[in-house]
Amino acid sequence: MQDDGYARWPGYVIGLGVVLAVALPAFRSARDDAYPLSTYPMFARKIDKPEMSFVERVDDQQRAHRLDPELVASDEVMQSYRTVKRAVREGPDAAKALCRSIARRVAKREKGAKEVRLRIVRARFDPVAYFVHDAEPEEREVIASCTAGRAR
Amino acid sequence: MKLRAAFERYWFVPTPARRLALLRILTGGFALGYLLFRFPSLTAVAHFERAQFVPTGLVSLLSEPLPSAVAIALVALTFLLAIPFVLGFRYRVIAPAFALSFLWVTTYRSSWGMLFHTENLLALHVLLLAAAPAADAYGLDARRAEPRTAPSGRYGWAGRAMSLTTALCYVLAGVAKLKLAGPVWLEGGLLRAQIAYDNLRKIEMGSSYSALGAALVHYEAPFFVLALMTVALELGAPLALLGRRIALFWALAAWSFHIGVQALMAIPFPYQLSFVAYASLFEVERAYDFVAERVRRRLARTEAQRGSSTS
Repeated sequence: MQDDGYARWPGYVIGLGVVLAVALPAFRSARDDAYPLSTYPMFARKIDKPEMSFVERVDDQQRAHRLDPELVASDEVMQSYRTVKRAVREGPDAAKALCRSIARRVAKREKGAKEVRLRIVRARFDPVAYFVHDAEPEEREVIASCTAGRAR
Repeated sequence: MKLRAAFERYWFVPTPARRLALLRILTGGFALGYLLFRFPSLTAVAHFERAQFVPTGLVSLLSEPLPSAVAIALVALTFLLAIPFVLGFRYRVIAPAFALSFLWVTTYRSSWGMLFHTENLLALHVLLLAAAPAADAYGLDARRAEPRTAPSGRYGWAGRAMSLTTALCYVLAGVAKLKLAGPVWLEGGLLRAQIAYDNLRKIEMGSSYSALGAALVHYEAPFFVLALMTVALELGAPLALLGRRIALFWALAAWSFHIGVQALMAIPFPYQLSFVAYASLFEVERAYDFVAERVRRRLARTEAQRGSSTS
């Protein structure tokens, strides 16, 4: 098979090595995900009535508005979602710290023209019922609230 | 020994240098565009709070996040390295540097609590191409060397490994569904809930969501079909390695699956949607020849028309 005497070690070490490494996650728990050697557990988990954490901006009439994910963490919506979820899971202090940092970011973007009032909320939804029956969240709790900027 | 010889015949299958070179240009070109368009997202993590740092993979070597300037500079450096990678310039040195830096920046981006499953396959394909002699044709290095026209086993293994990696990623996704949820996943209810959950998360996060997915959640029956098709596609991925026709059928099915994911969940898998992810399954040089011949004919026709109008 030495057709033109080329080195075969890259084919074995890198080629076969990468293939075997990609296959290895099949032998560990599917929950034990990593990058780039993933178990690909997305869309695989059982979902019943999940808790969701998100950021609300409260206006002068006490109405709640959703914030652009870019203002929360990044333009990647899921990365922003994980950022909020993680802070809520770590406890009220972490949630408060995140709330303040987002509020500062919003106030800076608006050059302090308006007071920024934010709430980090945790709620439990039935996702299918939300779309099919317009169901409200079954539980809802404000984990942290904060303000930044000043009304002129 | 027979087994080893059979494996070597498969793995080091004689392949033209230009097939591997075209895979380099397609995959590297995609990575270059990806780095350009995703530059803001890739660098956004440089400004994240230290508390959010959850290192994964290679980045687990770090106990602290990198200084912001270093994280941003590495993304810029990776972008710059992608250019000679595509051009096939100083490939033996630059290609591994690009592959490792691409792996690093994508791993670093996934080290903040969110793993980006949309980037795994691209990073793995780049790594495989970087270790192979993928600049022996259609590249700046190739201009300085003796032309290699005869198919050789040295150009075969990387394409094989890329195709196997692609198939394995889909199989793992299918296995995860059966491991985490069991056969109940095939009934479609979990997929319906997943699509509802994903769109709801996007609404609550103030982002755009899939109106089609939200509308489809009203019905149960489509999800039974979609769930069966999804698992069949994922677990059936190794069939694509058996021949070109079945590879084309499977690749089109996989591509349609990602169109469906985009349509129902607003989750883009850019590498798969570009179809470049499946290029290693095919004799891409034949497609290149077909397109080149058409372009040549068109140019000749234009030239002839110009000649007749001036005479």
